[in-house]
Amino acid sequence: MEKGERREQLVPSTPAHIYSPVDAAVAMNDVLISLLPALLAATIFFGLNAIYLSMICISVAMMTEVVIRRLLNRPFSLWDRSAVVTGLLLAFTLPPTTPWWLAALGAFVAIAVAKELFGGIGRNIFNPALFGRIFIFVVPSWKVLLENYVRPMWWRDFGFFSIITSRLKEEGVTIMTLAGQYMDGLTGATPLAIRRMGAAAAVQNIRHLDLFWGNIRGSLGETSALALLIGAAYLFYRGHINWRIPGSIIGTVAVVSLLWGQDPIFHVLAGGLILGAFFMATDWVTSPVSAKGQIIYGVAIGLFIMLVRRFGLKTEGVALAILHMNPLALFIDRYTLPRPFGG
Amino acid sequence: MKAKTFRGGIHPPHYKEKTADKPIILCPIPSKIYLPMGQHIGQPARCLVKEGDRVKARQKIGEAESFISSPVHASVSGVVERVGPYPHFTGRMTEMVSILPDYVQEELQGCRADMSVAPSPDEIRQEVREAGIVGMGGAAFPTSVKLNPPPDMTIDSVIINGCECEPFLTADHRLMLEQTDVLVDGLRLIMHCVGARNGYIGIEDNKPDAILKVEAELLKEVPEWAVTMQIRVCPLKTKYPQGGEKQLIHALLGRDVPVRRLPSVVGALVQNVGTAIAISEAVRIKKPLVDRVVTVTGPAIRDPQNLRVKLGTTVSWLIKVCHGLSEPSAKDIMGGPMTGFVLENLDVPVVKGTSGIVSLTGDLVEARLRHRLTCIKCGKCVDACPMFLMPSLIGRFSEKRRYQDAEEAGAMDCIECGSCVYTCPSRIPLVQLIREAKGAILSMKRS
Repeated sequence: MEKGERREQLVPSTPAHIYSPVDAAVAMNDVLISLLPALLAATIFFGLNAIYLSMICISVAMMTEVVIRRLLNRPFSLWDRSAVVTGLLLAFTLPPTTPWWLAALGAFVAIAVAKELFGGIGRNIFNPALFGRIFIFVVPSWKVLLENYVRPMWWRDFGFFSIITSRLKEEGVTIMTLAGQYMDGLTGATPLAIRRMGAAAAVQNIRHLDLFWGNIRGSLGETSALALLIGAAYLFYRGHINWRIPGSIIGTVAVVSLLWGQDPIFHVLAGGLILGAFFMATDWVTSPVSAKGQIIYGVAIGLFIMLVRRFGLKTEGVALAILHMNPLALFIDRYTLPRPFGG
Repeated sequence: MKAKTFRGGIHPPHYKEKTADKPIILCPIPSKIYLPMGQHIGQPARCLVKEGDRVKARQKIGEAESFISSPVHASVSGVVERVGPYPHFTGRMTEMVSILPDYVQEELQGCRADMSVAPSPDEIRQEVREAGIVGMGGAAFPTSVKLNPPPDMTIDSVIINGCECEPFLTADHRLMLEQTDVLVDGLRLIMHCVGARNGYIGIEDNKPDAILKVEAELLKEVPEWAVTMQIRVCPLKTKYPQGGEKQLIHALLGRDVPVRRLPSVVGALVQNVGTAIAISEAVRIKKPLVDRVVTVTGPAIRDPQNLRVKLGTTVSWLIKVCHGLSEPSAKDIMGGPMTGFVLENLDVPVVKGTSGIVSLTGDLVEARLRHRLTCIKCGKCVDACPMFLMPSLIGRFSEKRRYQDAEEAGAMDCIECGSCVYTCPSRIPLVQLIREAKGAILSMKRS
């Protein structure tokens, strides 16, 4: 009989017996591809700093994952590429002048605490990248290092290959190149911070188009709405995200800013809203899966962002909003079970 | 016309190109066949023969003794070698009759199919019952029961399921092309039997030739008894599980079958293509269900074919007829790759519900073992579920043995179509987990 031709070891299993080619690693690859346009935009606006900080965050994230999992006796998991995604997303949230050690610390905390201590991929409650970002932000003496936003295209005057960083000195924070050259007058407040400081006239000078291209002060990956939307379109095309979470966040922000008599386009394009809405709030593990739940989650994040922007911190509204909603995702799912077909 | 469909579902590759254009050929009769007494849902038939008996082809050898049951007929003429337990495709040993064929096949010949008249509904039900016809799409539910809806329900619409949404399988596709007239007569007989005015033939739009062929058949001369019937061919979107009973009814009629209820509640009756043809043959030429079309295919099969197979022929014989395996098979499936059974033993017989044999190679199978993860809550299973459940949540409850919660989350409503398993990037065996939960819930209810 043909039995001889069958494999020694058959794979007994329940159906289905064929699988979509998209496994977790393929999906994470798609996320990385979707982040490339924003990385390119960051490199254009902020020079080699973008690559420099991304590499630090990614390599520390990967090393942390390997070491921690070895210590905890968990199987090797870099193949799923989620550590790379976390590292790159963290880098995107950092101001271009973030010192390397602070970026590395953020990446370490993101993986070691937010991801692995909660049980590894799939079991984490908080978005690891945002957790790492807020962790390094809440320490007051480091916070000042994360508040200096360099102006876009600064490298035109200093050469594309120069990398700048901020250092703590006795007289305060100093911006200098890695080589030790001091640079003054490069940094300033982001558009949202300017608005919070009440300088309405200054906000008037910020053109919508600059916000859209990303030609503004801000964190590495958040400034170019255009580049982020190109990446998000790819994720839509590949079926990894749907409109519900980003749509409800952006819609809520727009509606609330209209109600408050503020410029909705400014609020949608400024700060980390596009990055957060399409790439952070849609993080699979930490967001609801039910259709209704995703909309509730998005609306809540949008409201939270607007409250922070009006009454809270000068920056970090999006990160704080998403982190606060993360632990509620599972509860939202439990109470928004879809009605079964015919039920 | 715009192709109709349902919400949810997946788009697996079709894998049908190897056999879609291959006409149905007769499979030679092997040296021994095995006929299980239980080939259907319900009580197994009572065996009417004993060792050493000579049986004629189409002779009844198993009698149905309760309402939900079906008789079994000898598919070949020959001598009963043994009546006893043999391995079934499910892996269990069940009572079967093994027959050594004598290749005489003195079947009832020469009965001309006269489609110009129709017997009474009761006669049709009787013929269908006596012919041992069961649902041939895979579920193998006795057809006579379906033709006998509760008296308080009126069936106004009969649907022929020509979707064949399982990848790899082309048996129904070939039948629609090659026995179109018999198919349409079968549909008319079913409509006549239950008194339905509307008939639908739902075909996925990846089979345009079948859609055209059936449409052309409907334009031919209509027999007197069927002129008032309104039959339409409906192209459906190619999407899995388009052929799921409830999904099909939703797509064609816009009616939703309530959970845990039968289609008759919404006035619908669904029959598979093969079943409708068998009904016509039973009524017109008194042919019991003794053979069926099986697609033998998959990347490991050297010469994939659509075979007309005598029931009781072993799977290993079918593979031999298809020139054996061209590369080692890693998984042999009875049925389609989405819902079929994995065979541990290839010497099990083809039964009434066997729509295909699919031999998969390692590259398709190992994808499951590689890259396995915990649930990353991507929600792809939720979007794919055609029953609008949360497979990931039910799976998680099942893993933690929280069966009460699993039931509340709708475990019992799962149709086990496998869409969630196909789409899961973490390769979680969700159907297996949900089945475990279903079993536990049922035994909790019993005790």
